[in-house]
Amino acid sequence: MRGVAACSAAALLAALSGPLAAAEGTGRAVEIALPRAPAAGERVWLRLTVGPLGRGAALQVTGVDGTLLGSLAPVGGAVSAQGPPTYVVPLPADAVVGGRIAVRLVVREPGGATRAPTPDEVPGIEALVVPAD
Amino acid sequence: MTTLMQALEPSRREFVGGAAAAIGLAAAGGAARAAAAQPKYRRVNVNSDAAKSHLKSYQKAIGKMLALPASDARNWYRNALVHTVDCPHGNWWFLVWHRGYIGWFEQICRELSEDPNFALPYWDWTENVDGSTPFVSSVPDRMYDGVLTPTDPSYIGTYDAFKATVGGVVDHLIWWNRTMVDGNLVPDAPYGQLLARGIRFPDDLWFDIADDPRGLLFFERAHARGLSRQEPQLDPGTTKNVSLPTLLDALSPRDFIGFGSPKTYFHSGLTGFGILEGLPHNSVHNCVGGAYNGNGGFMQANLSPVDPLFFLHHANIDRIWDVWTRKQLARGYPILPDGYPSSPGGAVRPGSDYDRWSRELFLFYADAQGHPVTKVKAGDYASIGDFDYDYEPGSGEEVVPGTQVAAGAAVPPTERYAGSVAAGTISAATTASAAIAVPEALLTRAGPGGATLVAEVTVAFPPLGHGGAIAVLVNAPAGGSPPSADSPHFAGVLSMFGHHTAHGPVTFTVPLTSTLLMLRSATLLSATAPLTVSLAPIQPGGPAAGATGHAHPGAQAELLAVTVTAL
Repeated sequence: MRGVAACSAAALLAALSGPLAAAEGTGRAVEIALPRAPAAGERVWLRLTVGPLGRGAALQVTGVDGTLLGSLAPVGGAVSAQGPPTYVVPLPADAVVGGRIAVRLVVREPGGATRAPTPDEVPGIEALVVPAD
Repeated sequence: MTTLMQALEPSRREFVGGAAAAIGLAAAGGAARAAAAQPKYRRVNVNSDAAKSHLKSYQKAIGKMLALPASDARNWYRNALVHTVDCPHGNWWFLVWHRGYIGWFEQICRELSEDPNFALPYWDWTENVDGSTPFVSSVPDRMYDGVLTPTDPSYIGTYDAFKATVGGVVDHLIWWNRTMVDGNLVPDAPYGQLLARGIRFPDDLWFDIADDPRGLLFFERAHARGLSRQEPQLDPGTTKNVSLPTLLDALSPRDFIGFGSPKTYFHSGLTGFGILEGLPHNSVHNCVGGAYNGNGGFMQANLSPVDPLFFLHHANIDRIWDVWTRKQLARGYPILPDGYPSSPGGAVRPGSDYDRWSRELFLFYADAQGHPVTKVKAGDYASIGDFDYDYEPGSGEEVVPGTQVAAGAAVPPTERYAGSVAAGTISAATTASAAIAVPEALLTRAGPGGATLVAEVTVAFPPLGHGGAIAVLVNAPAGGSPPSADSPHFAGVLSMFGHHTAHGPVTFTVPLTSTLLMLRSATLLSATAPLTVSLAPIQPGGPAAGATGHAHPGAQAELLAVTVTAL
């Protein structure tokens, strides 16, 4: 995408084991710094790399207050021969506080059970500042 | 045995004329269409009054397609199998392939329904049909009538019956014919395409459909659709993904790759998802397919066109692409991958993203008479073109037109030194190259006890074309034969090991330090000029044509990126 600024610290694996992450309640809390403040005409998105989740499971991205921001799953639980694909989740303006994004990642299993994703299930997450209109 | 010319002749003849028309329409887009005569057909919202007659014709066509013998490509299940073997997902051909697929399907329905005005309705899942708060989206009730649901008795009820009905025909389709030229398989023919996707023979296909332990494609009649008439609501996650705020975000990118899904180098490469494909598209498939409630259903996997709702879902995806295109035109933004003609009939910029995107082959469609279509390239479907329809306005229409905003922000610098690819094509006649600005201080430090430099070179090979070798050269003179391996310019050789099912971009790491030392001692290294890394094809016995090994004549590899890294 043209004109996209991406957070340079992109690996969720590092984030999950670092001071910015905390497993509290259901799912996994992740906090990411924006690469820079969005200007007028720009929006903030998350780009997540999502590994195999299992048939019927979906990765849900919520705000810290539990507001659902997006639900991610390949059609049919397809597995890519080229490695895990990326997904984009648009964020509301109020998701950015003090130049940082705080979200929670939850894997919803078939039948409704929820749990935190493993590093293999979400090997990467980036914050993007995207020109959009 | 089919020759290359026989295999390509029909499409080539058609494409010469078809391409110019398609590209011209693509460049002019909806603006020209709005100023010209109204399209012949209009796709309307499935919940509208106008949709009733279309749904009646749709039922008639489906009934006939279900009843056709499997030897007819218009047979309902034969048509669905085209999606199984050929649909691109998670890449930049997702939108255009499905436009072609449902466009030809619409023509089949028009023919078999004997309704000359038939057009596919679309399912606007974002529409708040009953004004409820919070928003709830549901499968349209009308899509539970008769053969509009795959749970109707007219559909094949079991896998065994399905295999018995279509298996004998599918196992002997022309798809499996091995098109050879001079002893080499032609990749630009159906069987070459199937092989590149890992479908070697019919049993591979049947394995995917009914024996893959990771999940099946066929569902028995009782589980053919995951959401029932009594409980048609989408789950909360899917509802969020189809909501208006998500749709408006999906429509907001300023370039095609940001709107669609990422660029890739292989028809079925699952590379990534833009918002539209990754959120509403995927989750509607899974939800209606019963992936989230355990009910099962065709929509959750690649035999999804067995459910008639598939075509209304994808008509909506196509509608949203049309909305985005008209928004882009109104704002002066690009509507297709970089390099598309700026004026009707204009030239495609060679080597551009559009050039690569538009040349991708779509070989499996059938027309209204059940014959293979003659428009077989992605570029043929870059615009609505001869399908000649438009859409009744629906959700997201408010983004057309909008107000101009500031230009996009710059991409921040990376820690490594990324090169600029000046010429990407690697073929018998062309050498690819990239220029990399490496700081003088780092070049000076390269050597024993100092910095170790490597070049990360990313190359996309054509499908089935991994057999050749490519020389990596630094600051080599332009033109002439590639330098020999003892030249100070010679940094290494790239070649593939393994099976042809490996495909997609591959990154090689090539050591540079010793090459830089040799260039410096030969006074061939400027501390202030960018490094030039070039890739030239070689063959056993010396430099010559053939970068792509077993690929058919004219096949090309592509240099995608070069990055210099200090270890």
